[in-house]
Amino acid sequence: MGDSFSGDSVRKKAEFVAEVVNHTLHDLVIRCTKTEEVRNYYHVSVIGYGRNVSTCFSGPLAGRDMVPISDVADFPLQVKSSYKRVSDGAGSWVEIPVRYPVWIHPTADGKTPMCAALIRVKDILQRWLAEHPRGFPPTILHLTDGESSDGDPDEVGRQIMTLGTDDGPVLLFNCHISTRRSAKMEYPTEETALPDGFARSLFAMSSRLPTNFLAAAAQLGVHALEGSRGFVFNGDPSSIVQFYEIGTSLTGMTPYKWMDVDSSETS
Amino acid sequence: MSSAKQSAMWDLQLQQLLLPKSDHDASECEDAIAVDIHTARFAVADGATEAFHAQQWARNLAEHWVRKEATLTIEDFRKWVAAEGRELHDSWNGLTLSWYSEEKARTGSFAAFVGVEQRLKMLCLMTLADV
Repeated sequence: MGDSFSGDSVRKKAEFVAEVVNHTLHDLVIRCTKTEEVRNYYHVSVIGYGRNVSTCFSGPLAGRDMVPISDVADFPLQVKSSYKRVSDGAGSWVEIPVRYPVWIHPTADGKTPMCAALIRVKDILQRWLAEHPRGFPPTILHLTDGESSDGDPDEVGRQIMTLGTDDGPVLLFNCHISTRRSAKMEYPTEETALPDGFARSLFAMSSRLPTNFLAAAAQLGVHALEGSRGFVFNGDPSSIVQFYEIGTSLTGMTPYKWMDVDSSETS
Repeated sequence: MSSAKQSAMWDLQLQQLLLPKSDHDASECEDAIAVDIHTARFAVADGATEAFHAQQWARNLAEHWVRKEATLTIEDFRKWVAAEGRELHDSWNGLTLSWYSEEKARTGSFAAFVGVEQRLKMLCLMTLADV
């Protein structure tokens, strides 16, 4: 994740991914906010892998594998100040002050121990599922920029897909991102057009998109069909944003639009 | 009560039921219901779960509307809703909010609303969604 996207000489992939993850966490908190209270409709785990496999939370949430969304809301690493352009209702724009929480800082080092990371995820899931056997099935949004450096992830991926709650199986979605100008493939229904064994392996361990997720994809203008897998290959920055928006549309809500925010920081 | 309402030929019986969702207690219910026999008005409001102060907004809409004797025109209703909205927003001034409540407050509050007024041999219905 240390290199940049093709055509973007400034922002490294790790910085962009951290920004998307921070916005996704922000989105989940806002969805669960009822007036001045955050209800624990979600539990969130953010695992990074490279030199180590570990939780990406730091500060007050350091070391916690699974965090209720109310704690995510109350314990960001830092809250930044910025401005957002909004309509004044009379045809003009005004800038209003907003506060931005940050939980994840960009990190890029080491190899791609995908199997070790998925084994860690399976372990976290098994513990959570034992405590929440009737809950909404967990969704895993797996983002990688390279091939596994510690073996074929297919077996542990399939093991994860056999887990579930009374409400259905765990959903595992995979997004492979690339700095090359290769053609991207988003949410395919079959593996025949995939370029190599690595792509086919990720396809095989990607769940089909349930109806709510297909509706979210349609709202975003993403081409996904009945039978589409939650899988992107050779994705670009927009693929990542859409992958997270679709992957967190658990309740069929309108995907949260955050790209219109002016990201200039004032402090 | 106006003479028209006094001479109404209707024999109405009314029972109010406000039920929270399954596994939720009454304090979590964002719906509101209100009746005023003097104005012969009845109202229900369904506060949007994701909105800021939705419960208060639903209560304000239902309870304040039934007490009014204003005409049932869309123009009057718009003016009345706008004034109610300003009053709710003003009540948030000076609050010290967390980053997430602050953002939620910026998007405002929402509710679906139905109001009914009984008149001589006639029921007048005022209904709006997401006000």
